[in-house]
Amino acid sequence: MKKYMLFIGVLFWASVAGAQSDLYNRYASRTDIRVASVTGFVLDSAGTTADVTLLEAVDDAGWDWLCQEFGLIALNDEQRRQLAQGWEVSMFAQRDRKDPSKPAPVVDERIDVANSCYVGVSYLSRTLYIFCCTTEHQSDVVIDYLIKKMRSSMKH
Amino acid sequence: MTELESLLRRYAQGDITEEELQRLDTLSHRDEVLAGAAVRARTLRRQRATRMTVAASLAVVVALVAVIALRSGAPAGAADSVLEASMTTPPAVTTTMETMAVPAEVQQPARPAVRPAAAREVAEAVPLPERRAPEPAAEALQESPVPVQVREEVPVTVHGTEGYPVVACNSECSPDSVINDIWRFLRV
Repeated sequence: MKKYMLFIGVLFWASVAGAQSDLYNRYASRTDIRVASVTGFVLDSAGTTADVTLLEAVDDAGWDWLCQEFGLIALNDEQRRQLAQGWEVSMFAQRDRKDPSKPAPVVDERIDVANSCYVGVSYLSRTLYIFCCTTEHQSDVVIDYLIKKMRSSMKH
Repeated sequence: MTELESLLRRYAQGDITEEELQRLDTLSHRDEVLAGAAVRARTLRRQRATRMTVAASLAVVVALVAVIALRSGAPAGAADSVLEASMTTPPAVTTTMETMAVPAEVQQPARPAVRPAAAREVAEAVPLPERRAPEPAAEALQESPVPVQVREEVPVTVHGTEGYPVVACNSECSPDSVINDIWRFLRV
């Protein structure tokens, strides 16, 4: 029985370990970036899920590298002042699903949603949140969150 | 859904017209997140203004050339009256400018509701790929005295059970903290 349970455990570990995204594998070897990948992150009570990858800079070098890799927009003086006061400064963009450091692909004059992902950036925590969706509904849910976040920041 | 929400949604989906983009720019001018789109909208307006200025200048030049030609060939009295009319009554010049055929390269081309470039612009609006750090900066970073350490193997620490989110980290992490971190970002 123990061997059977051990076998099941090894099978499960192998299945989840092998399922790590290319995105995770691309950055996981870096020591200046903390990478966390969440498969099946539940977005709402309806059970809508998305795969999320976090890239958090461990130090200044890691943050500089992330800014360069993803072409993050430079903050203006006002934003820097807000950041220094502990305010969250964030942004989001639609990017290529296979390589979020590149712009989202465009097909027939429209963004190819199926092959794009959403990248949210928290300058305060120096973290990138990459939401990969496979359906339009998933994209809608993520966009709703990001729009609410944007509206919330505009009220301040 | 408010107008702003609707515009933001269409903006995020890349399905937005030029007029809507300008409207979005107006509604969200305080939002730094959309600074890229705002800058682009302003740039487009500036480009149009520049084109109009160029067209106006060309029109004035053509009008002056016409006047000079008339003066050189026509009777003196008639030429003087034309010149006087052109220089003392700006509306006449304006009318000339508006009715004059503007060279093709100056004319604003008719645009479809969503241009290919527009979709690309929306995709790239935030952040702007063009605003990446220049190459010299990249080289400087690579030449940083603090070399980036790269692990030889990709570390994976997997948490989670069947039916629940699976969390993998390249360092010690708590699945709860990672998930809370995502929620904090989405809800703040």
